[in-house]
Amino acid sequence: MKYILFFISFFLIFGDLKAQQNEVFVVKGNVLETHLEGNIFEAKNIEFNKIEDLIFTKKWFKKVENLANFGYGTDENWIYFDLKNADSIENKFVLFLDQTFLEKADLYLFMDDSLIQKNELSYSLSSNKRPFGFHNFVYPFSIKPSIQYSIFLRIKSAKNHNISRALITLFDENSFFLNQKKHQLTFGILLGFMLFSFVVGLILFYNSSKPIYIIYGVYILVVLIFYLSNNGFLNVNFPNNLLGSPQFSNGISMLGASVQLIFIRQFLSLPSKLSRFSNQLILVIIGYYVLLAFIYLFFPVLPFLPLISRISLIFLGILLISLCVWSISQKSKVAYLYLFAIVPGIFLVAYFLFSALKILPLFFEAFALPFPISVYEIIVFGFGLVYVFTKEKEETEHQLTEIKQKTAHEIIKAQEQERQRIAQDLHDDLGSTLSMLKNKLSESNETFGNQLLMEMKIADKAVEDLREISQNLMPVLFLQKGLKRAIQELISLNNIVFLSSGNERKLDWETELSIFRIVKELLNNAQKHSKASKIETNLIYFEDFLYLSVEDNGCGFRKTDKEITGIGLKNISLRVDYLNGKISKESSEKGTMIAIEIPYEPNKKNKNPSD
Amino acid sequence: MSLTKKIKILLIDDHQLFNDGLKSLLSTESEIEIVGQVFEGKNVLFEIQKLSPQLIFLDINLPDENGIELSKKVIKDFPSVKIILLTMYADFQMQKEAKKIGVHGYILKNTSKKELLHGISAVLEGKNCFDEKINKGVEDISKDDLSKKLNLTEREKEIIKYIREGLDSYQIAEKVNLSYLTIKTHRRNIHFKIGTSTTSELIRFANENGI
Repeated sequence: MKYILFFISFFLIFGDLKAQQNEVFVVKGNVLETHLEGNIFEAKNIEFNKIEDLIFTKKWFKKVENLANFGYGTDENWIYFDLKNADSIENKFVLFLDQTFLEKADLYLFMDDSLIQKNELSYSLSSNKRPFGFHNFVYPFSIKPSIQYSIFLRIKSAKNHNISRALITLFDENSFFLNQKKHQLTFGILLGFMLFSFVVGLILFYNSSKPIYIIYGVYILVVLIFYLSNNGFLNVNFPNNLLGSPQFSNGISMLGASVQLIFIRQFLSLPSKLSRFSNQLILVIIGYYVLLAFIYLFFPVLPFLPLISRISLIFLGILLISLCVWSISQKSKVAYLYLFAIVPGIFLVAYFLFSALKILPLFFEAFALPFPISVYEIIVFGFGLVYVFTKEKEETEHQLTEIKQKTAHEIIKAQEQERQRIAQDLHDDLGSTLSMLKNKLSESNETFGNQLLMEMKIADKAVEDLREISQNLMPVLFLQKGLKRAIQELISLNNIVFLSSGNERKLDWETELSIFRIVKELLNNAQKHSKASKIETNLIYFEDFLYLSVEDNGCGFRKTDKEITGIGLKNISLRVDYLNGKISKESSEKGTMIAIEIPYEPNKKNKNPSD
Repeated sequence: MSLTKKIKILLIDDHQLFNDGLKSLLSTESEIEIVGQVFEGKNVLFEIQKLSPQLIFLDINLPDENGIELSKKVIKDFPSVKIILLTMYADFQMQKEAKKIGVHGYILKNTSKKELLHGISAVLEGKNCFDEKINKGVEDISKDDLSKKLNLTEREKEIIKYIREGLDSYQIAEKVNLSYLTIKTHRRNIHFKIGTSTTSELIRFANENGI
């Protein structure tokens, strides 16, 4: 309880002190950076006939908000405060008015009741005509000890801008330059980030030529131009020129809004997700912002346009958040990222709005935030784009492998069908022809008294060769026999053992044929390279996969690695791959085992008894 | 033989040259009359009805209907007609199937005329005529002892031996110079073949059956 009382009384005393102090701002000591809280008076919408009237008028009101802000419009307004130097030496100060587009920003310095300094500035003044050659409104002056000074500022917003809200800061001269150095450094670093993001966007565009990356680049440029304009870099370099005008700044901000919308549309893939109507609506809104930008840039401005454009910007914020939330509800991951990127900026805008409406207290630090927050937004977008880019690349690669696999499949299938056809034609047609030839030879042989025995033998040999060739191309009656039987017949050599377990399953003919080819290749390898005395082939029909192994007691394939891992095994791997199977190899000087597992659907119902 | 006792034969083969060749080959025999040639499976039953041959030479591989299927129909509709399958398929399974459905002969196309004539007379005498030279393939693997019936590979038998000795998969892997995973695969396969699911069941089974 005591504590609370203590705190309350502390604040009462503190507040009281300030209230007593506020008539004259007393400067003491060197380091100074103040917003003159509680010392500022204002006079709204007033024009004085003589400058001297400033001193004697009774129209001054104490300012509650510690910054120049006279609402929407282009009236002439005044700010005033008293200043006294408590040091024993003369001190130099700089007054800084943080607003770019003021038609009039004039300072009048009175010592006692006489005017001793006058600076009449305007946004359309080039930098060499400004104090320090500085691009914003700064007013250097010096005050002698123990004398009271009065400072009057005339503030009139520029046409087409209509905003006079400006943060007022009083520095001692050293602090001002220090502060500006810090400011420039920060600006430079942020600019660097923007440039980097811009380059990233270009690289991504170069690699995938998707419009979103170039939109990103354009967005960065627009944001950059907007800040250059809004922070007073353009008006001092292009005075009395469109580039240096407030309508250019506002036009660019409208352009930024439209680019922002185009960007979110691409980033969240809205065209494919939203209904046709919603898409058209978004296009219309984009068109609306482009139109505003166009009017700003190329037409004499309507008086209420700045108000419309500011309301439109608030609407844009609401629209962006709504689109994000909707996308998140549609389970879009990138929408989270987008929201993450824009939320600080939106909060800042909302904060400025609420503080202007005096719902929230004013923190002067907030005035330094817009540019860093914009750069933050750009960086997060950049991360999002890189993420999307890599994801899309992965997807494309995945699709490519799928297509590759499918193509391989088709090739193998076509190959097998062709082999089947050739084998059948050779075997049945040419076989019949040769058989008949042999019989005819036999007839003639009788007629010519056994003169054609040799020819008959050759015809016999031809039939035999034909059988072998067609058998190699495609086992005769493979379809009817099925895999197990075909393997059994393949194994005619007596050092090969074939063992089979489980209930044979009829798989589709391509699969069976592929497995048959694999077995054939494996046996080929084992016979050719291993010098084995025994080869065991093992086929097991499990419930949901086929196990197949070929094991030999030969010399292993370490020495002949190159041959074995060559075309033969590559073919096997390819086939196993496209059957979605697994292959494992084990080899030592005692022998080699290659095992393959091919998955299939477990038996659904009873097998076809006839098969 | 007198004219009236000529053997009426119908040739069925889609291969024009062979069909014609066979006709000219057999036409020189005085006791044989080629009553017709058929080149498509679908005309066979109709031609048999029309020409009432005693014997048909039937190719297995016809474009529209398989010779085996055709044989079944002929046997059913015309039980008195003898059927000799004349084919390129030197296939034991196929011959076995033909025998099963009651075909009277199975002769390869590249057999000599002499054998062909021999086949004709054998079939007409009510005997069968099947090609002895078509090898049996690998059907008759003698399955005397149990491990052969179970289809265990040498490696699997070796692993069962080690399991009985009480070695675990790691130790077996070391013994046989294979990876642990391969041993696991072998053990899974052994269980599947024998129909056991635990090691103790496997050991009991092996002990009881002397594997």
